[in-house]
Amino acid sequence: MANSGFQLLGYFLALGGWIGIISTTALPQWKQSSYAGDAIITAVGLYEGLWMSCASQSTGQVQCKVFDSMLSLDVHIQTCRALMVVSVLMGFIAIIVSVVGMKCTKVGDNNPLTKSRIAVSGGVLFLLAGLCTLVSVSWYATQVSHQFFNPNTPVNARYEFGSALFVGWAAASLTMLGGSFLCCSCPTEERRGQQYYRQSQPSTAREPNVKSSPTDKGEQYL
Amino acid sequence: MIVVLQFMAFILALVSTVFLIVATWTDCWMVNADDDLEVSQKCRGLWWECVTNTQDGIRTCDQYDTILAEHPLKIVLTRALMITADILASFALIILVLGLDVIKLLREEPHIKLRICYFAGFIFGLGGIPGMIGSVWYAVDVYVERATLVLKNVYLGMHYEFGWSCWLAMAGSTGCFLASIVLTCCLYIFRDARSSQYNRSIYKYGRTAAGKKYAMDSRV
Repeated sequence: MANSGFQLLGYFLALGGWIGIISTTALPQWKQSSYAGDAIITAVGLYEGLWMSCASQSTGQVQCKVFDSMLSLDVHIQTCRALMVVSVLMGFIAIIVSVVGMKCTKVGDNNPLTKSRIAVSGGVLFLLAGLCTLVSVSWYATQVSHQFFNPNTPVNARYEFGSALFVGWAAASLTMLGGSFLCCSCPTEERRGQQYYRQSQPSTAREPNVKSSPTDKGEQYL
Repeated sequence: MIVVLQFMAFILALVSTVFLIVATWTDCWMVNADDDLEVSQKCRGLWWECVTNTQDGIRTCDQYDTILAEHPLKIVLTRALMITADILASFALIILVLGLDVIKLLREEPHIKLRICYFAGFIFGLGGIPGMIGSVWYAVDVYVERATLVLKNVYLGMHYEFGWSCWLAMAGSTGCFLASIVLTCCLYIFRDARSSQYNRSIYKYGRTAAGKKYAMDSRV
C-alpha cells in the first residue's frame, strides 16, 4: 500500500527520466570515434547520433551534418528513432495521466479506487516508455560493439559508446523505477471500497441507524 | 473561475519558462541579413557561433574561445541576465505548483495557498525583468550596430539582424510578466468567490467531522 509521498517520489523520478529520454534523443553522441589501437589522428573527434553526424576539431570548432536521406539509413538507426520518439510521447501522456491519478491532486474522480487505477495506468505507461528507451539504446550499443569487434572494420574507423548511450540507460532506469513506484499504488479492492463507503456516506442518513442499532454499525466499521 | 485562472497562469508560466531556457542555450540570437548569395546562414548566440551551408547542410559551430575578444560586456552580461531569469522562473514554477488549487497541500488554509500564488507571481515578475532587459538590450545593440554600418555606407562584411532565440527570449519574458499579472492582480480581484467557497468547505468539513464522531461513538 503506497502513500501519497511514495507516489510523489515515483512521479518525480519518472519526470527526471523523461527529461533524460528527451536529451538522449536529441544528443549527437550516440557513438564516438575510438582512439584504441594505433589511431594517431587525435585532432578530429567524430561522433554520430540518431539525427546527425559531427566532427569536433581540436581548435574548438564543431561541424555537424544532418543525415541526408531518411530511407537510405540503416535499419537500426530508423528503429531507434522510432522507439525514442514513441517513448517520449508515451512519457508525455503518462505525465498527464498520473497527475490526474495521484492522491495529492484534486483533479478527476473523487473515488480513490478509480484514482489509483488511473495512477497505475500512468505508471504502466512510464514503464513502457522506459522499456522502449532501454531496447533502443541497448540495441544501438549492441550494433556499435558488434562493429567494433568486427575484424573487417579498419582500426582507425572504429566507434565506441558515446555519452548519450549512458544518459539513455540512466534515463530508462529512472523512468522504469518511477513507473514501478506509481504502480505500487495498485488498490486492494475490499479495503479501498470500504474506505470510500465510509467517506461518502452522509452523516444524516446514518444517524437513525446509529441510534437504533449501534452494535451492528460498530461491527461493520470494524 | 479561480481554478481556471490558476490553470491558465500555470500553462503560461510553464511555456514561458521553457522559452527562456531554450533561448539561453540555443545559438541564434542574431542571424546575418543582406546576403544576396544565400550561400550560408550565420547564427551567433551567447555561447556559439554557427554557420550553416545551405547547399550541403553542413553546420560548423565555433565556441567563443575568449569572451574578452569581442563584444565582451554585452555577451557576458546577457548570459548572466538570462541565467538569472531561468533560475528565478524555474523556482517560481515550483512554488506555483505548490500553491495550485488542485494540489492537496494545506487544504484547510486556502488563504496561505492564495498567498503562495501571490508569492509565485511576484517571483515571476522578478524573473521577467532580467530576461526582458537581457533580450531587449541584445536586440537594441544588434540594431544599433546595423544602423551604424548602414549610416557609414559600409555594405561589405556582415550585417546582422535578430534571430529566433532573441524573439524566444522576449516572448518568454513577456509570458512571465503576464503570468505574474494573472497570479497577483486577477487572483486578488477574484478572491471573494474563493472566500465564499471557503465558508462552504468549512461547513462541509464540519458535517464530515460530526459524521466521524458518530462513527467513533458507534464503534465503542
